[in-house]
Amino acid sequence: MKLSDALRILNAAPLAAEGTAVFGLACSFTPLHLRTLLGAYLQRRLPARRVEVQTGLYGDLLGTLERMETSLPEKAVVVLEWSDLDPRLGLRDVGGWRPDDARDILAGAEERAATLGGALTRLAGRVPLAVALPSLPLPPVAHTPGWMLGRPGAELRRITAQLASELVATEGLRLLDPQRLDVASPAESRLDVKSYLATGFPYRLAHVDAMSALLSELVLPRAPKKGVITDLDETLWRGILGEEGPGGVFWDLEHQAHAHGLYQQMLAALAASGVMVAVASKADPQVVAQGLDAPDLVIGRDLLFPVEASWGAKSEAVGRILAAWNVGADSVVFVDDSPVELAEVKTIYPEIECLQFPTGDDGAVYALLERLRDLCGKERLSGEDAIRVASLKTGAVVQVALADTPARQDAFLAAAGQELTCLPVAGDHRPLELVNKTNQFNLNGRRWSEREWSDLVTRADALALCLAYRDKYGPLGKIAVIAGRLAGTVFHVDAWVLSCRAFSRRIEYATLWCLFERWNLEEIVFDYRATPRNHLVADFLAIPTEGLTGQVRLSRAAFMARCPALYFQVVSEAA
Amino acid sequence: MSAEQRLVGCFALAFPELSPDEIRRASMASVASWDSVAAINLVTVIEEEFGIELALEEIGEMASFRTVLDILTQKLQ
Repeated sequence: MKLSDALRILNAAPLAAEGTAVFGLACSFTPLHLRTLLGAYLQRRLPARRVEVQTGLYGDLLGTLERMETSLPEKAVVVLEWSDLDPRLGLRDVGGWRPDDARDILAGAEERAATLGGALTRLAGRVPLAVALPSLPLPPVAHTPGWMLGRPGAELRRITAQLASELVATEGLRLLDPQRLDVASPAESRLDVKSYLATGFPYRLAHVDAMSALLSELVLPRAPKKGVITDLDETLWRGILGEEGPGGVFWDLEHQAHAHGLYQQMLAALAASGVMVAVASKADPQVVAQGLDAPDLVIGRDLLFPVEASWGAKSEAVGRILAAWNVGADSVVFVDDSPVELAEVKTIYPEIECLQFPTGDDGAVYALLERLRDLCGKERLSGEDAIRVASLKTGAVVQVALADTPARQDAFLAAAGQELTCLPVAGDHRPLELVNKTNQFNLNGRRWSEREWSDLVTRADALALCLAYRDKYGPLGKIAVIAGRLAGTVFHVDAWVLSCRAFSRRIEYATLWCLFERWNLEEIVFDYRATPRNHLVADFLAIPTEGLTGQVRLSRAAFMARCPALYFQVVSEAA
Repeated sequence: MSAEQRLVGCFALAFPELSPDEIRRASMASVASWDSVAAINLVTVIEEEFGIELALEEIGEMASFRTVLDILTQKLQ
């Protein structure tokens, strides 16, 4: 993005929009074009709001961080440079580069880094932070020639690596990966000496653009994809299974097919991180079963669900997989070596992310692996991630069992050993994650910032529960969240979600039953809003009018009259 | 599009509140928002638009639309 493009975006920002989004930017140099381009990238991501980037005083990074603890921007970006460890590591100061100066710089840098780390950790407790570590080249402080790493360079890099190691574990703080920045912005093209000396702004525009783009992804992370659907022939393995047989397809170095092994390894890693992985192959199902039973397959057969092997259109297989997963096409990546198949699927499901597997081009395969990581990567892993595949298969069993008469459904649920655990919400990331990524059973589709959610669940009249479920088929983990405000015997619900993995178990009924009974409620008032995907909520609440928005009231008597038989053992760990 | 029209476009990005006529009459003395940050933005936008690099001495003389146009015209020749 050029500066002129950024200014166009900012100049076109809505005036009277859905509120102003205030972001903080802290750096010790003149923010100048960094403020403009970062603002433009954020504005592009938030078209309905007016983005404002607030900066601090030149040269006062710590003071700016301290003031943000009071001004509390929605989120903040902090860009560190070497001069933050010592002004002599910048170019606006001529404090000296003699060997004694270098020793003096090192003596103070560690303490300075610790001070910065403390300030960042404190602020991250109140404002979500995105932090960039120093990205400029170190000035020629060392007495060694430039191609030889000297003690100052080694020590300063150790200090910042130590700082990064501490910050990466800090709640509410995300670090920009220097490796990604290295790819996006070559080191030799970052420093603008002319600008640095004339204005105090040290970066070339290309570097500002690269950094702003990456920082905006940190500040406003996109929802990770929930599943990957993969083809088999010339994708999962090299070769055509139906023609060569199981012994004629490869994924190893000996057969120059190791890139396929790396691809399997990535899929296995994604599956272990809770990403669903399925197969869509135009092949005979029995032949496919033989191929997937290979003992040395890097991604185990048990991690693939479902496996759709048929001679019909790929889009039909994709459709069945989406139904089995119960997710929208926009949450899924489809990987196939055939551009024709990709185009066919994309025509039927425009929202699906289609990636062509570049068979025969090992470098391009590696780039595909990085792309998959970008699309599916998560900030943190939860217990639910480890059990997702198993719970999907369990869900399939339950769905088959429930596709029967009501009497048999009751008998099935009565024998399922259902256990519902009510857990506190405050201090747990999973509830907010669930609320912000669930679309189908979502009371109003509202997305909450970390601050807004914290305010909701910690206020004096707050009532917020996270529900975990298990039955004799296995655990589903935390699958529902309900939160709002308690006023006597009336509970006002501001957020209510139920994971699609947990449908058809009457958990939504059990949730309300727990609330009515445990808190002796007479009425629950839901802050309902129709979205394109939450008709399940409307069906459950028996809302007759499409597009209705507003309070939906459910009395205790009305609920108990229509609540079906429940067979839950309820365990409560919530206050 | 003439150099003058393109320059008006550059000024419009740096000073979105000004009309084209106001831009042609603009100077550091008459436009309240023409501060050092706006000046740097203007220089960068002009350099991007015309594919040139302005020297510090030239930047120092850019006090009005007219002087900027004069400097630009000489540079493009």
